[in-house]
Amino acid sequence: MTAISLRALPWQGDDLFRRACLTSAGLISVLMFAILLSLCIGAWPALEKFGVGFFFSSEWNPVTKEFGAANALYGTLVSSVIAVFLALPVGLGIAIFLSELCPVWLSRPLSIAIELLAAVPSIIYGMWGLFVFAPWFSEGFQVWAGEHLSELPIIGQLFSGPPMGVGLLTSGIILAFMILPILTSLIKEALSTVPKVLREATYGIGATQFEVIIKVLLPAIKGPIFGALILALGRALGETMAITFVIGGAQSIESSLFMPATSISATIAEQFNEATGDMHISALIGLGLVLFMITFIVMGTARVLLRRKAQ
Amino acid sequence: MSLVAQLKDYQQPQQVKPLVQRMDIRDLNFYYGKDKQVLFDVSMPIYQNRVTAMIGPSGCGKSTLLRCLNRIYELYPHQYAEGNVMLGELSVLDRKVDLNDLRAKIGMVFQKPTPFPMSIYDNIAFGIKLYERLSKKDMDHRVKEALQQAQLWNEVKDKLHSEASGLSGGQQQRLCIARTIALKPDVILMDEPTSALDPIATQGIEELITELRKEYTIVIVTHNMQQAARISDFTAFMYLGELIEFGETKQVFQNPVNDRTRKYVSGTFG
Repeated sequence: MTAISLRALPWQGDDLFRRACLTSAGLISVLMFAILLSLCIGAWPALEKFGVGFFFSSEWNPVTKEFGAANALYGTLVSSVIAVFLALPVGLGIAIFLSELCPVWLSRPLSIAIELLAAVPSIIYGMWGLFVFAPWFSEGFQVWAGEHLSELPIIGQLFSGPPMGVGLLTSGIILAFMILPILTSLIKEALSTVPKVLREATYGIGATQFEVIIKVLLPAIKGPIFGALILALGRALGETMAITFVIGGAQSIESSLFMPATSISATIAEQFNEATGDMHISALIGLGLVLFMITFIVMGTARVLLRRKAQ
Repeated sequence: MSLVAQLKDYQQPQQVKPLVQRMDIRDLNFYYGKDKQVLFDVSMPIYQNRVTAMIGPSGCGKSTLLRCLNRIYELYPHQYAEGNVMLGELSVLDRKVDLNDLRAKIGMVFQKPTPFPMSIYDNIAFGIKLYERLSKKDMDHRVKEALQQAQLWNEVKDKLHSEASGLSGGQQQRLCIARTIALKPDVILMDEPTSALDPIATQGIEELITELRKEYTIVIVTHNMQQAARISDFTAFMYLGELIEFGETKQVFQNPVNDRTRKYVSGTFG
């Protein structure tokens, strides 16, 4: 069936336009797939040689050509989890302050300041972390913790060891600074989706501001908060520059959070240029593949959770 | 003047309880910021155990008037009221009044059902816990009582601990009413409580309001004139921020004193 056009000159552009847009959109999936594929191909020699052991072995020795991802994986996960753990209460506090407590004239400049924090290049965080924060942290907190916390049962282990400044805990703290903006703005956004009338209804039965926020608003957005957490975790997992500066670059897993460690991205950044031999390069690409998959899963989960709007 | 005279003659045989004034709104002015006045010298009584309906075209100030009665407008900066609103001896607009206590005495139900993000049981218990420390048994009793009064008990008694958001719109609105009456308020304010509901749920809420009138004083804002005519004892007609006419519902609808009221209730404007 042919459509009858009322136009004097038939317009043929719609189809072309649709195809052009489709191509642009398609490029994304092609790119994604191409990256995954090249990672797989690059990592194949290492995966073939070490098998599943690649993911669990903590042996990383360019001299003997023995490679395992466990050290880097451990450092990545632990520093990221520390970051999320530290950033959550602060982020919640900022978001609640901005959307519920602070006067309108203050809310805008503060929000902009937080967004600017997100715009600080990560190498600046790294330099600041290494030259300013780490020395201060080792002389201040780490010495104190060595004297007081290291004697505690179970968690004492985490806070023992020499006060070196750089290490897992320092990385976690720097990462916490870096994910704070995204966490804050996502929670703030979630709070703004809570219907005005739900607030009014809660105040309407005589609840105080504290009760409204803690008992009604936060439970109403617990899905999105969890989603924001996961998204922030995804950011933290992939962060490279700052962490390379402050994690210490030690291929080992220590029980103390004060000890230097490494992360996937730090290992790749440090070693890629001076990799010795194809197996070393392949192992590094294998690390990249691991990171890619973790981040992919984490981000996917976050998106699903964030889509659940506040009731 | 003539209205007051009419009210004195007013008798409603089926109602046993005598006409007692519960609230008194006197010369109330309301502002959204300094330059925008939206209520002009509104004065009217609210009678105990009666349903008072506020009607008028949108933007006439009927919801604003309602929101003055429990000072919920104070959540927003730049909104303020001047004048007098008395609840018995209590001056509602007095700065020294404890807002939380006030809102326990004057409950509110909103346009859209607003269940809290918690279980059906906790939705009721939450409000009670703000004011009273009850044993588990007493709390169970209070929750049941409130749900029964709101005619919701039979529908939810087997799922008290499931999320309130799973209920239908009409059920959620009855839950909100149950939550309000659980605090045993003096007055219940309802801001277009059926505007988000289907006709059957609306009928349920209307029957409930008629039932609740025996124990509570109800003020309802509605855009639906038939609803006002069906369920209210008194009607206030508002237009452009002024109270044009207040009187017994039957009188306001059948024999309005003011010409604008007559045009509005007969549907020729608004």
